[in-house]
Amino acid sequence: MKCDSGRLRAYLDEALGPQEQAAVATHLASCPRCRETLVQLRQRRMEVERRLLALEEQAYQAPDVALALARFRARVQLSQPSLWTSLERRLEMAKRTLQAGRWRPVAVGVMTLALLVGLFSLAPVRQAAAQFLGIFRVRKFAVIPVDPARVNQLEGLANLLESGMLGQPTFLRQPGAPQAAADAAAASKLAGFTVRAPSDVPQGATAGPFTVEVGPAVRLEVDRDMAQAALEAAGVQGVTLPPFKKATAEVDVPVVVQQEYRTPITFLSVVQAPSPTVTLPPGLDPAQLGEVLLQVLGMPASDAHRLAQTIDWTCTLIVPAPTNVVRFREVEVDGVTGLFLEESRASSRGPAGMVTWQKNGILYAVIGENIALDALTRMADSLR
Amino acid sequence: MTTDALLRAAERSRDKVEFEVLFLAHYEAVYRLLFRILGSSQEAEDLAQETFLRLYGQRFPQGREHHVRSWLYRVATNLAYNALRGQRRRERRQEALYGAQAAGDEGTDPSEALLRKDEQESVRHVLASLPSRQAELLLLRYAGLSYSELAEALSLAPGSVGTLLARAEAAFEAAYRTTILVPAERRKR
Repeated sequence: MKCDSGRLRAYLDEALGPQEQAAVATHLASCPRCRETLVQLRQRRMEVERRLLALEEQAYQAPDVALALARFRARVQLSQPSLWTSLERRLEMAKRTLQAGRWRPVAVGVMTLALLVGLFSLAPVRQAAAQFLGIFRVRKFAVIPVDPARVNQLEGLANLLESGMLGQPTFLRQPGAPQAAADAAAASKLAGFTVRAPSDVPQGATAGPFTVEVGPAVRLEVDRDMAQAALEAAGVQGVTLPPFKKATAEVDVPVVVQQEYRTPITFLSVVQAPSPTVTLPPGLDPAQLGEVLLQVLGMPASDAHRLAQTIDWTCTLIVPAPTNVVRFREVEVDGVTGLFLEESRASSRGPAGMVTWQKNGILYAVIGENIALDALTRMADSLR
Repeated sequence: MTTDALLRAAERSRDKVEFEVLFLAHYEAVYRLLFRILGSSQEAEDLAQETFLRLYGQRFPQGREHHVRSWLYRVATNLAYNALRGQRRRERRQEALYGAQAAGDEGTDPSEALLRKDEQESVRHVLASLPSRQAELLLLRYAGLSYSELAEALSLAPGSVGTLLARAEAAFEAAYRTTILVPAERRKR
């Protein structure tokens, strides 16, 4: 065997195959020069390693991957000006944020809007499902646990919709730019409903201004065959849409108001919005379409059938919750029954959670990170 | 819409989901690597974004998708190296303007943290002085890439990695001794 310092260097890292490692070892036993080289190489590797390790000794803070992805999406999708796309993006962002286990300011503010609007845009089938409901307004919530394995398929479905496969939606009203309001009175004036502000906020919290954003009104015509094909293309198997040919759905998100509170360790956001409405032509049995929706979310057919019969489909918002990400339960808040959702995975920055409820036609959500449930509900209860 | 168009849409949709899965899987490792090299979270974030921007739309040949990690590391390291070179050029200009005075002052601070910081800056300085292939090889190796990953990432013959690594380490040590240790000793006198 020839003396070869490169091979010795690889030998040192045990990067040669077993036979070659053994061959080098045998050679070393009989070659004092190579043994000396090996000592030098090992010494130098240690020195270099030590110096490079100095770079490790900086205070490292893990990046917010969800936020980074949101930025990335914003960057690559600049060329797609469609407002529908931007709504979709918000939903995706919120979902990604949930998946990555982080709820960040950039996402939480739009989360409620995204959940509400997104629910109707996520799956083409949902459009179909909703169209027979007459006018839909949110009065209740039903959380449907979603298997993590299903989430990718649902996203595939959302992407198909975004790609315009089911036709481009018509904007009946373009969403407005966010407007700032100094206090609840000014926000109420802009929003056209009575905006409330919490009186019980965590100690030392600074309140940001109210942001008032007029939402879009959108019409989408759904072709049944296309919707069915989309389900199959996205890998959602064994779900058959009820018979219809084309159906038109209209979604209207009147206005969304948001206010932020910050302490050094907490971020809180209060979102309030008149319930979005979904207007649809009269038609099939709502429960039948709801059943399809539940199946799309991954529920076995028999369970979907049973549950669909118990839900009032004209006023129940279905909240899909990936089980590996979100825990939920009912809570009493603001004098009504609401829903508490929190991330189920431990995170280095404390838990994030959301209380959401509906009262007098207005949907509310108080979203916070690194804050206990009772502080969230106290804040929710203190809205005046 | 025809069936073909439908299939294409489905494929695009899968591509997008797959890309985001990659983003979520690798972003933190890429960021961490960049942060380590650059010592600035802002720069690390910017270059991590740039790295994934280059991945976006990149098509990996069938069966080579698992090389994504080494590909990402390679691109990130290359971007970081160029950034270090840029910093070094700026430093040189400043030194030319203000003389070596500033450097002498730094060394006299007794704070341990500052000494560590000084050492990190020295390592960056030395890396920036090496040829890019050597600096990148060292950084990628110490970021944990195996020999075969290194060969893949830097388009090297697998058998040559040991030789190149030994050379790069020798060059690093030599540069470190001449540019850092020697001036420090001179200062002491």
